[in-house]
Amino acid sequence: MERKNSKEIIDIEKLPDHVVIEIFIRTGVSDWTQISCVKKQWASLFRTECFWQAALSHIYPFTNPSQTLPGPIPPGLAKRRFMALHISEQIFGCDPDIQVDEIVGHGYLFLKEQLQLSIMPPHSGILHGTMIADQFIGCGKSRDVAHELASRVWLAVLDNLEENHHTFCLLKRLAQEGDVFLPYPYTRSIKVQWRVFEKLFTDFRDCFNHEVDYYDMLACAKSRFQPIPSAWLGY
Amino acid sequence: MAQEASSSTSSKTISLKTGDGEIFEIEASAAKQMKTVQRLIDDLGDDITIPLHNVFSKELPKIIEYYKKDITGEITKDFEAEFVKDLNDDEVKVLFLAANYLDANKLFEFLSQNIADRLESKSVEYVRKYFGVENDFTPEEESKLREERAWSFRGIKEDE
Repeated sequence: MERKNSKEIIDIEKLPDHVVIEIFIRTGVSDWTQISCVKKQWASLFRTECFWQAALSHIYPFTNPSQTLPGPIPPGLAKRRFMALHISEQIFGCDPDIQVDEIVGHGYLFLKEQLQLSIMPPHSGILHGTMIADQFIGCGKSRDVAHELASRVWLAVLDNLEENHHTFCLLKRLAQEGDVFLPYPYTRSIKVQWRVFEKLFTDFRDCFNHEVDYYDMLACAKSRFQPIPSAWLGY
Repeated sequence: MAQEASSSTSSKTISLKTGDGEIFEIEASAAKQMKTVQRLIDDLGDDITIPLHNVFSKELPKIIEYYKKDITGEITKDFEAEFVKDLNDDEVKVLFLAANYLDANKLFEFLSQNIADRLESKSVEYVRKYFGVENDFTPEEESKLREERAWSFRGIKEDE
């Protein structure tokens, strides 16, 4: 029963990349961290365009990979597009076969990256979110829909910013910027303004070094929202 | 081993010889689904026994069984579930590699999915063992990689 070639057969290691990729794209995103830690060559597969294009066509088959998206935010390569679609699906619960949903994910990625750069204050197009709304308008959305989508992107980004000092400074800035006049649909919606203050007074309460800063911010909140939740008065 | 000399391909069978010297018959229409076999038939003719050096008598019958069902259009979810139910991890791997060698697309995709399912939520060590792969990361490199990966999908609700 000698099988001279049996070692060769069982040797999945020797398979070309595009074959192994067929397994990986079917495990689903949550297993990819584990898979990329198995060995270095597999980790490097996750940096190839080949892998991400295969993932896109298997998991999001309705997306045309060579399609360019209108609007100021560039879609990037396959990995970026995959992340945008994934985020749209996970965070926004959208239907992955409509173009607008990829845009929403791109808006999220773009805004989050820009806000987390160490530039303070962020570029005004970012700070005011005008680029985000422009992206949606560029894709033919009405002003109302663009405003709503931009709102949802802001809320998702705010919820996922890293909890560090930079974010604290950013939130303070956003809270204080609320008075800047912006035309509709670029105005920051009430729920976004609310979330900024909420984060400051709950997650970031301990970052206020001086009580004076805290009370100033509280006064700012009170001028906008009546009544303010007791949780913001924080104990 | 009656070989029909008629020109109707539906009754034509092809002889396949495994790497360990056994001979199996399949319908010509099933052979069409395995591109490697079809290429060999195109080169060697369909009256010759087609040699398959890298496929053996243990797995070929299973593959033939799959494609017998395929050509009658009877592959259902239930059939597929039954097909893999009693296969252990090594057997699935061997079939997967054979399907790859034979360029049998439908079976290959089905088995890719089955292997992917077997790996779902498994630890890194488990996956390494399954593929017989050595770890070439240092612990520092591995934890750095994990951090990077977590970052790229941070904010997405995922089971750790």
